[in-house]
Amino acid sequence: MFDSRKVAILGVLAAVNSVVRLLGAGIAGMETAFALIIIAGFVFGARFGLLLGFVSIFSSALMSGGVGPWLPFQMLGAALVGLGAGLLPKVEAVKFRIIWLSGYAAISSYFYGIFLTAWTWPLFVGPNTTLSYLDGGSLTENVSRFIQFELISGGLIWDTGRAVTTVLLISLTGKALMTTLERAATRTDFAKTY
Amino acid sequence: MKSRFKIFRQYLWLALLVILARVLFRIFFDEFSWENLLASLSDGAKLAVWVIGFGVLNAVVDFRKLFKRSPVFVKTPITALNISFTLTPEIGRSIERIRAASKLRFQRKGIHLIRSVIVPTLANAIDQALNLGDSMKARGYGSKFQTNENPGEVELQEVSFAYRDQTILKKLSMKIRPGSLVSITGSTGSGKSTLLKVIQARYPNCAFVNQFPRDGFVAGSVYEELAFALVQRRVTETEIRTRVLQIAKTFELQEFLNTDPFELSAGYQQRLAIASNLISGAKLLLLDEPFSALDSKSSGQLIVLLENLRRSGVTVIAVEHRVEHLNEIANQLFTLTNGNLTPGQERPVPLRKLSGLSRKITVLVGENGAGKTTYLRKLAQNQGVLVPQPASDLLFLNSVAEELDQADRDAQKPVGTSAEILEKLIGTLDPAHNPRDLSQGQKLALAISMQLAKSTDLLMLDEPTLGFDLPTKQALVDLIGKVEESGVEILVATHDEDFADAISNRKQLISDGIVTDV
Repeated sequence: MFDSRKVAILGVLAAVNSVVRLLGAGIAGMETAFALIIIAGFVFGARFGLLLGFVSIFSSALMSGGVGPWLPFQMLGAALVGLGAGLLPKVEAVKFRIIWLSGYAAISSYFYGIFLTAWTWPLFVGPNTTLSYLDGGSLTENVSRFIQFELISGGLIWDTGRAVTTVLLISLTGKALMTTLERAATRTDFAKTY
Repeated sequence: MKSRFKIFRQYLWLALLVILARVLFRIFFDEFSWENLLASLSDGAKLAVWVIGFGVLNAVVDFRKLFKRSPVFVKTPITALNISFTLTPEIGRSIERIRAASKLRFQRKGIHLIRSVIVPTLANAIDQALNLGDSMKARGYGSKFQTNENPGEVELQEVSFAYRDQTILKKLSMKIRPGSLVSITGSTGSGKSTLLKVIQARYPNCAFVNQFPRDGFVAGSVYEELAFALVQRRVTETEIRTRVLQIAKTFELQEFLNTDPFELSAGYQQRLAIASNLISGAKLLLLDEPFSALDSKSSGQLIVLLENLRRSGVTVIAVEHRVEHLNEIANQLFTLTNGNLTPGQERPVPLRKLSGLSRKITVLVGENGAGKTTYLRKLAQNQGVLVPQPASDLLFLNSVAEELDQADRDAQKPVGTSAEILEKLIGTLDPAHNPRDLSQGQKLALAISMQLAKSTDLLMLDEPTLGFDLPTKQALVDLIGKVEESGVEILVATHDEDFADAISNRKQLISDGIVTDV
């Protein structure tokens, strides 16, 4: 179990993410939340990243009326992104960290998009079209249909937009955000008197 | 929180989108036949009914209420979830405030706007989280409860404490009897807060209220805030109710039980913080700078409250640099210097007034909540430059040098303009220093220099002395004198009367948003 400070940081960061998601569909809301989940996951570790992704999406969905069968997918997607950030090997030099995290941010943006498309694909296309999931079809056949759907529905463009914005955000704010979080991670033990 | 209708309307759109997508995909990616089209319409309609069903559910049910109590095995995520619900409006307000502050500095757009907002937002949020974590711990979150309640006695014998190789407390001893009211003063950095934290670590069942009581609020209503410590102790619902109502009466909070703690005035927030810490029966109350954010009326009320607590047998230890109020009722006075306590306190030296008070400095006075900030912000839209409270809302870069360079670029001035102003005001700061690590006085001076680079004829300061000790305040008085000498008019909003007297004899009073000359 986390100590009270870690729980408070988790709750407060989830609140920041909820606000930016609620405020900013147009001004890179999801991307800001994403950047924070990745940076916090990297600084505080995999478990924290997982929970932050989970709680951030859940909390904003509960507040904005976004509860539905898609919610577990969104939560799991964001949680996996946070988990992955926490599992990245640690590097010391700040510059490398930013490059490292930017690369991860780009990859995970596509991962998140594709993960969610796997859910919207059957919903929007339905059965019996040349884009639909083919029951008993080969893996390559179904993957090709999936990619066609991604292209036609504009999902890939959307994901690319998310990847670019998240990378920009991390390269512009990453250093400052990491310093802030790292300072919070070191805590003074006032019981250690002598 | 969106309105219920708005939520439902979104789902209606989604339902339409589903039907449309089904039909269009069928038309373009299947052989066309009316039969196929009808089939996809009917499939789409069935799905749309589901979607609308979820729309109704979301519009009708407030899901947040389902997560009020948590089973132990998911305590961490559920507690974090509830904190997120509670703090989302507060973070929203803080983002709005910082966005407005960012505009005071320069009109930024797109990703640069997000950057200048998200960095200070996160820095504030993290500070708040650390205070919140400590406040939750002080009220029993994650603790194993000891049965032997502390009777309100404190005894430290030759206690030393160091932080990063720097000795803060040096063989410090103190003995406080139950029911005492102790006032401890000392300059900034003398270790006052550290001493309180060390006492707190020694006596885990004590009550602790830090300098910013609102940062410790965990619940969405005054009732839940008061109940928090009892919920941690697994007290029954009926007993919680009895004890909450009882303490609310003692602290005159009855009429606010359903109010959001963040919407209370500073004075009532202080009361609530003390009450929610004492509700578990603690007999020792530690207060860090309890008067720093209060106007004179709220300070007077707090004095009465502390006196009553002392009479009821609670030991109160307060560290404070505005001791004038506290010392009226304290029965033990100490000064913390060089890591040690000495009995007694010197009479505070009054602020040295600016010589030859001119008419170029005006002070805007008024109680907490009288509308000083709103007035300054409105004024700043048309003329002059404003340094907000807190000044750190303006800072978002990684070093002093970067902030100064950015300020020069924003003001379209040659490189070094704002650095030169800073130099004149307080001497040089280490250019590589992270602005968030500066002292409050230094942050303010940096923000003032950055704003003055815009060569303005009016500088406005909003509550600049909040959290300042006497020497820092004196430095600010001198700094304001220097700015005035350079020919700039100054308007300062403050509830700090001594400070106001020291810088100007020209006062304006603001009450209910109306400004009158005094």
